[in-house]
Amino acid sequence: MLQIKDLHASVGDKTILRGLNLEVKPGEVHAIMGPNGSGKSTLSQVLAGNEAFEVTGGSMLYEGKDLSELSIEERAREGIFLAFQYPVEIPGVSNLQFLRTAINSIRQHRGEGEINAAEFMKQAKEKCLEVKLDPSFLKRGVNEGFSGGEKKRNEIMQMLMLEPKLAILDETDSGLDIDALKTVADGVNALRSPERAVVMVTHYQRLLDYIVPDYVHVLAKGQIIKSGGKELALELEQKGYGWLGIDDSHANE
Amino acid sequence: MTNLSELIAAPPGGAQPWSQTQVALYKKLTQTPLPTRKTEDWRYSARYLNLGQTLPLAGTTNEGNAAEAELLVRNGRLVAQGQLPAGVSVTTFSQAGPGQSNVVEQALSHSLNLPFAWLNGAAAVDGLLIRVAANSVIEQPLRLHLQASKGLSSPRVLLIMERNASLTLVEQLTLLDEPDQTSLCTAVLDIELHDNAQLTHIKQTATTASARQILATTVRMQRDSKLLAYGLHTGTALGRHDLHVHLLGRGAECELNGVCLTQGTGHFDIHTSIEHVAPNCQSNETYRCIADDQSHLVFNGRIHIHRDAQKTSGAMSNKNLLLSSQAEIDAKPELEIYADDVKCAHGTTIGKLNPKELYYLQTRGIGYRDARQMLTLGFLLELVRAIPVEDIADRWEAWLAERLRGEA
Repeated sequence: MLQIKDLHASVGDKTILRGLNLEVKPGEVHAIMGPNGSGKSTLSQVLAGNEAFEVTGGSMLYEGKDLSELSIEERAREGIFLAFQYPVEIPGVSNLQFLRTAINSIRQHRGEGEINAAEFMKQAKEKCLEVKLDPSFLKRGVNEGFSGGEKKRNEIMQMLMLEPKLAILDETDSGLDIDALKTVADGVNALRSPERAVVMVTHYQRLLDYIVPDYVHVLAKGQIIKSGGKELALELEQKGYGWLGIDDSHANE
Repeated sequence: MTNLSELIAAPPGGAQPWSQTQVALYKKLTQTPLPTRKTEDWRYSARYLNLGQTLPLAGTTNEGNAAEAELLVRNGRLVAQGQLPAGVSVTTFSQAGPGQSNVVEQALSHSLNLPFAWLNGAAAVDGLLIRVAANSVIEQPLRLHLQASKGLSSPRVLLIMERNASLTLVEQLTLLDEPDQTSLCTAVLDIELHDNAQLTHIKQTATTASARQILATTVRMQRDSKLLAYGLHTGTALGRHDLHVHLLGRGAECELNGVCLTQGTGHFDIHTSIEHVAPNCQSNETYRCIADDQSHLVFNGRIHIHRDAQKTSGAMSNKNLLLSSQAEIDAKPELEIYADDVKCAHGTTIGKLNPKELYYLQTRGIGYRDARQMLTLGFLLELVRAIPVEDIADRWEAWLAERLRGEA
């Protein structure tokens, strides 16, 4: 599904990804861990198409297509979804209008007609309840006045509505209490299927108790330096990153 | 052409009780030069005036259809009147009895420092006097539809709300035919709010791209009266609205809200002025404006707190979106404070669309054009959705959405 080869990316004159390799197959869940500043969020943003980052080398193939040839919205319409670490607030644009436009844009891309209004409302309310958001949120502005936890749940709610093939979660677990974390994990687990894949970027092992990954990768200084199964996460939890030769204290450079 | 009086084809001199006031206004106009860019009030907008010749009087009047509004005024003359709610009475200036003509004269002559309102007063062929009786609470919005033809059109309306009266007035200006260089509409609405009167005023200015309009609303507010105003403006060949509010009685409160969208080569200039004369009054002002393409938008918000207006609370917020590098926005807050125990906050910003918001929408599959339209509309909708008359809010939302998609 996703093949990343020797990926280099920079923001401004700062190089962040320095030859990253990753392969994700349908049905798999990958966790990408690493200290702050290692390039985890950059990887998520580059996959989603954030134009603040420049891809300076290597390749990203998604279902055989060169991602760098696709615009931000085309990637989304092809089934890539990024759950943001810091979702923006957009007062004046209601969640409902936002979601309906998003769904219809994706449907149009697939050659399908617009979603039936009643069916859309029914689904939207159901998905809200799934992530324990009051459906009255739908009428409010996008993320407007939402707490940190509500914003993250809203990301998962959107993901459930848009049913992506490749979901990228960028530190979705950070700042969540344990109940919210479970809710988010339930949402992600509900989406798991043999056709879909999940890439979770996280700083903490905690999330992996609830969303059990098939693979764990350690990202440091813009490269994946170690890969393993879910037991690698436990090892990281116990030993930190030091045993891998990563100096955690200078992580924010 | 040097003075504003030269715009008028025939000097006033009728036999109405208020004709003498018109003559006096005309005399003032003979000493009032045409504004230029050196005239502070017209600094950014004088270039759109293009007033070089005498303007023919706007066309004769015909019967109108009262189904469009309770009050239909064409070039200043009342042409149709629907069923008026109990407590609302309407008379024309020309039919006003001896008891009323005094009121008309006063309204015509006060017109502040607004030369084009003097022009309106001097050139008005007739006017409308709306009176809401004391203690009348009118639930149904009263629709006032002003229409202007080619030439100089000078509609004048005076609204008097007696004590404890309550009303929602929905005012709209439309053009009957395609304006040309000799067209100018100078509609003026004067409002008197007596003690504890409450008015919600929704004003939509002309939207025809070639419209040439210089409009004014003046409000005199007595003790504990309340004004909630919404202005809906779009750029036209020449667009200007002066909104002057005088807080004259203790405890009066005004909330002024407005949205303005200029596109193409359109122009609109909003000048608001709030005079805090009495103590313990509140004013709250919020304007959201967008300029796109090669359009030009001006916002000038003045708050003047007089020496005796202690315990004043004033707040002004003016946010602007500049969508094109060829568009121009001139925004200026103007505060003059002579009292020492007051709260007065103001903020003006001019920004572009937030790229983070655009990106967020795009990552959900929404195309750039749709995302841009949603964000620009959303910027205005916060205010539009607050309009307390739902069908007006709905109509404006739909219409702004079309304009921002480039369909209207």
